[in-house]
Amino acid sequence: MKKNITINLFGELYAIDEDAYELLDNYLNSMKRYFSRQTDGDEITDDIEHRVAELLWEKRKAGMSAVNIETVRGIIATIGNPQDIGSEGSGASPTGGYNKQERSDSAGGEWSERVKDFGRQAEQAFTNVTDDVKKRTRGRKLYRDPEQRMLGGVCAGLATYFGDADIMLVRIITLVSIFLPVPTLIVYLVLWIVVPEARTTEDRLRMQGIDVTPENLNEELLRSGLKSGEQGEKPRRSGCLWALIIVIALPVLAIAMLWLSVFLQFLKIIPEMIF
Amino acid sequence: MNTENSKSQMRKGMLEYCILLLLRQKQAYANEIISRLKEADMIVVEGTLYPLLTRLKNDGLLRYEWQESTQGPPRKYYALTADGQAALDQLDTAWQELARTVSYLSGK
Repeated sequence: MKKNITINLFGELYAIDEDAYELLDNYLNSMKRYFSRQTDGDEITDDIEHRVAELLWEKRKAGMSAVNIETVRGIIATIGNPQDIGSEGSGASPTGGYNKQERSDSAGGEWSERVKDFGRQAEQAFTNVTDDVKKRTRGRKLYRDPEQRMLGGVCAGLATYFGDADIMLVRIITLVSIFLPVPTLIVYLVLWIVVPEARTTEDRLRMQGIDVTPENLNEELLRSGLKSGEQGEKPRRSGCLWALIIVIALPVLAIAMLWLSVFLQFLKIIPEMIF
Repeated sequence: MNTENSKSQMRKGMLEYCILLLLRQKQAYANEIISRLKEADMIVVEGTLYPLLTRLKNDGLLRYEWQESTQGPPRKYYALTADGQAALDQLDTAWQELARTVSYLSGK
């Protein structure tokens, strides 16, 4: 059973299903936002609203009684999505990879050949990794994720940015890296301050690299709406657990490392004492 | 070989000229412009028209007046201005030059 509401388009009333209304509302809003950057953007969005009204009028004249979601999809397909309009033809993306001229150095000897091979392999591996990273992050923007956060959503946001990686893995790596000669805590704080939080639904879509169309907005709205209903309590609890683990584990580890270094020094002294 | 991109680029370049041509024949509502262009195989996505019409109006080539209608919401009724007529004449010349270029390049 669908909820039905009445909308007023330039003085004309239309009965519209609730899901159809939300899709249409998203559509018009994304048009508004898209054209807000241009001069006379208001006039353009006004023209588009008029066109929507015109199309609905014609459909009603042709016998439609209530506007359903199929109708709205049809209207959106007819008028076009924001990115279909006023988009310059996207230039063909340059093909990745390049051919290197392989020159065999006869005077180099076997050793330098090996070194060159290793160099090539390392370069290939590096290119593979960077290509993979580029692929995973294509079309995405880095945000902090407030939905899946534990502290500031930095790890969650980073994980999502790098192709929906496992967030827990990112967190573990981050924790472990605190004990390495890496300025992890400072970097985390900087990211917390600098990286924006994914607040609107559009942000969430951009974070996942999904095209911002009215339909996708609608789906994301529904999905995050359901989720926040379910997970009201959980993030708090597991967040507390992790905070507890950190608070206990860090001092323990610090003490362990101290002890280890003392022990090693002691090991050095013993031979001197004996011999 | 995929020429869709090139074709769509060519159409984009022509769209302004086509709109002015239409309006030279007679004044029209936006939806009439859309359907005539569709008949002429010119556009698929309607939305591209609105920014363009607004720009042409701002450049002084078009003007419009709102007209109430019993047949639906109020509509903009577009017409060429004198500047629009002049621009159109220039575009006619430009089009003929382009056509000459093409036949030159393919003929010889």
